[in-house]
Amino acid sequence: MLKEIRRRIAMENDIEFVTSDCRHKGSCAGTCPRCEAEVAYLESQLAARKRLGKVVRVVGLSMGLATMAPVLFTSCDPQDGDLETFQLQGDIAVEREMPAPEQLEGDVAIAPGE
Amino acid sequence: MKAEISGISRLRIGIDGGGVTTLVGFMYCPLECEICLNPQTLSRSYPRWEYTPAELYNELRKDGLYFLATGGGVTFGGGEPLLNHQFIKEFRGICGDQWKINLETCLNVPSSFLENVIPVVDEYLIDIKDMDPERYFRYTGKDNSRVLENLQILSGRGLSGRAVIRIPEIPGYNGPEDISKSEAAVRELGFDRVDIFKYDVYHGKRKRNLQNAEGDPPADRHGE
Repeated sequence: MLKEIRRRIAMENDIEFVTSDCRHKGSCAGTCPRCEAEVAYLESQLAARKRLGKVVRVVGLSMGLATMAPVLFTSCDPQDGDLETFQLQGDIAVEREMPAPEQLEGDVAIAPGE
Repeated sequence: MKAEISGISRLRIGIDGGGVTTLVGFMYCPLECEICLNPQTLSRSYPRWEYTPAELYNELRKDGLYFLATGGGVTFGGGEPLLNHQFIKEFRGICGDQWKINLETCLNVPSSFLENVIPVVDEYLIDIKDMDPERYFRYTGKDNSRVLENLQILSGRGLSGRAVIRIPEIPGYNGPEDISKSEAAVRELGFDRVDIFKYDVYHGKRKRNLQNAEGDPPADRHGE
């Protein structure tokens, strides 16, 4: 789904959607180097368009996609291909040098099998 | 101003707010629930990180495109986010108006905390536990009069439509009949969006008094 959002932003702003082979192993929450690089690329392209005075369209482009609210998705196409989808459960993204905290669940959760 | 944060969970969809959201978990909570899904937010024995509002914004803005495209944003949870009400208000001043700000809250805080963030919050996800004061006390160790007062404030301001009231089935504490009573009570207050669910007791690790046993300060002091 995140990849589709990136694709839509690119399409709506006449940006060539550049992808490359993903070397990430396993399921992807959208934070693998490939996904991050694609977001950075889009941001730089959008900024360039703004500088040229072009209209940039991002706000609300994918409202429908996200309100469908599927919990199962993958952000890119991991090379190992074993997991086409995965369940997002609130793993904490480790952004700094630090020991991995426990899962952050939010206030609520559904019991298994519920 | 700095806040202690237990963790950041990026790029969530359909879990805690519309669109793509990032969950930011604050440390500390005024409640001492028998079951806690995020015990790492309660004790200084767990890792935690300090951020200013600007530092947090710099951390989260990498996902700004997703927020804007999907009508998503940041969900503050924890722990109890309203203990950091001023931080949230300052964060809004930095992130601007286009990101949604959601709160996952128990609302058991002084009403001034809630009043401070009302102008900057888009949606409230409120876990009321149970509306019966005695049962609430048995489960959380706290009185729920502040919860009631804050629900009345939201309703009185015409903000009930921005709130989802979550009523958990808590094994050993309430059952379907109790939940129905709680649901009727919140609907009576004007809240129509009610989410009834079952606590995952397998993941709830924390037992009451863990915090005090480890010598941490009472959470009520934090953020005041």
